[in-house]
Amino acid sequence: MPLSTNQPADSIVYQISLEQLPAYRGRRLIVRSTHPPELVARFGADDLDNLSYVQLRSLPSDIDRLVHWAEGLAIELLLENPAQDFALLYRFAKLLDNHPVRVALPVVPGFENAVKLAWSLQFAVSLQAGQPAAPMVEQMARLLDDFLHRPTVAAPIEYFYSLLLGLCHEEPVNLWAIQEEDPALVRYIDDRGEERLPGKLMEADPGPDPAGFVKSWGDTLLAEGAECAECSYFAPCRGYFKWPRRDYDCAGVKSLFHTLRKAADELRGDLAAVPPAGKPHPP
Amino acid sequence: MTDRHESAEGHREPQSMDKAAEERELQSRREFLIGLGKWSRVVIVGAVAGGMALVDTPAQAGWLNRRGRGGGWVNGGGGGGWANRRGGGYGGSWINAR
Repeated sequence: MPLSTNQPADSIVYQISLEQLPAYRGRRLIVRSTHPPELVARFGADDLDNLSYVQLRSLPSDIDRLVHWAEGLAIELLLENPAQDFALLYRFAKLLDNHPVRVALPVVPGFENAVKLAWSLQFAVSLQAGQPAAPMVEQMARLLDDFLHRPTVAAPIEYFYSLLLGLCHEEPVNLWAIQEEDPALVRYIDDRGEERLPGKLMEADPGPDPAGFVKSWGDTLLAEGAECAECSYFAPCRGYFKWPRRDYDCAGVKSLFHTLRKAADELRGDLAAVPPAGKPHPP
Repeated sequence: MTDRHESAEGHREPQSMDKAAEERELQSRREFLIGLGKWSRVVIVGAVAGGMALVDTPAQAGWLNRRGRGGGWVNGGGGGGWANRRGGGYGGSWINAR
């Protein structure tokens, strides 16, 4: 059953299974699949125009037909058990010949090594941060430092990348949107065809205005006088890390925000110091 | 890469000159940041590209509209890839990059 929305239909991206494609033709889509050959077989050229990206689940082995299919189409690899499965990423390196590739993975034990391997293979990364425990935040901090400063890191890691650039250029950023978990942007269609909220909101009650969830959630936290009321990072976070547990201690993730904001300020200063083209750079 | 469009008189078209000048500016910015020796490659390219072509809303950035051609960052060819760097590319992750 579709959820109510005040949004224009074409502003929402629906994440569907491949089997649901006929019912969602004409919508903007993310399509998840465990069988790459079926992707190739079922998609017509018109379908590709509305496709944001495909998500491969269970890291299938039969990917050869994807390499030369729909050139330029982005492919996300869902690495649900990073500690156990990260070595499987090697087999997907060939996709880079014709596709942008991103690895999505939860922040759980083993994720740090998986991110490093993904980077070494030139894959982008998207962290499903959730409400990370302190040891995970420590690993996120190390990865953030690598992302910012290690010269060989050539691929982005979300949410760090978008937040850094948003802060650097003083543009409004929304962590829910960066994480593709803002119901105003994305809806998840489960395997029974039910429309759900995306990402970690999957089990949430959508309420009468799912597209207004992020604002409503933020307003609630502020009204309650929660930690968010005093937080200098509320504008980009909007209570992201207070979901689902409102009593989550944000000290660790605030340190990540602090690092990102400091780096963004420094980067903005460095960009302002760039001499005009043709003028010699200072030694 | 810069397209060259020359008229019958051998003059470059203004659009081509603009592109060439813009690319020189981008290259200059990248080289300056590389010279500082404190930023990763992905940060440098993202920062330079983002400064030249900001997006209007988070929903317009990143991967959600991708189609591989409109995003701020594309990994490709095994070399890290910097294609399509002028299309924005932050704030809304993957969905709007197509």
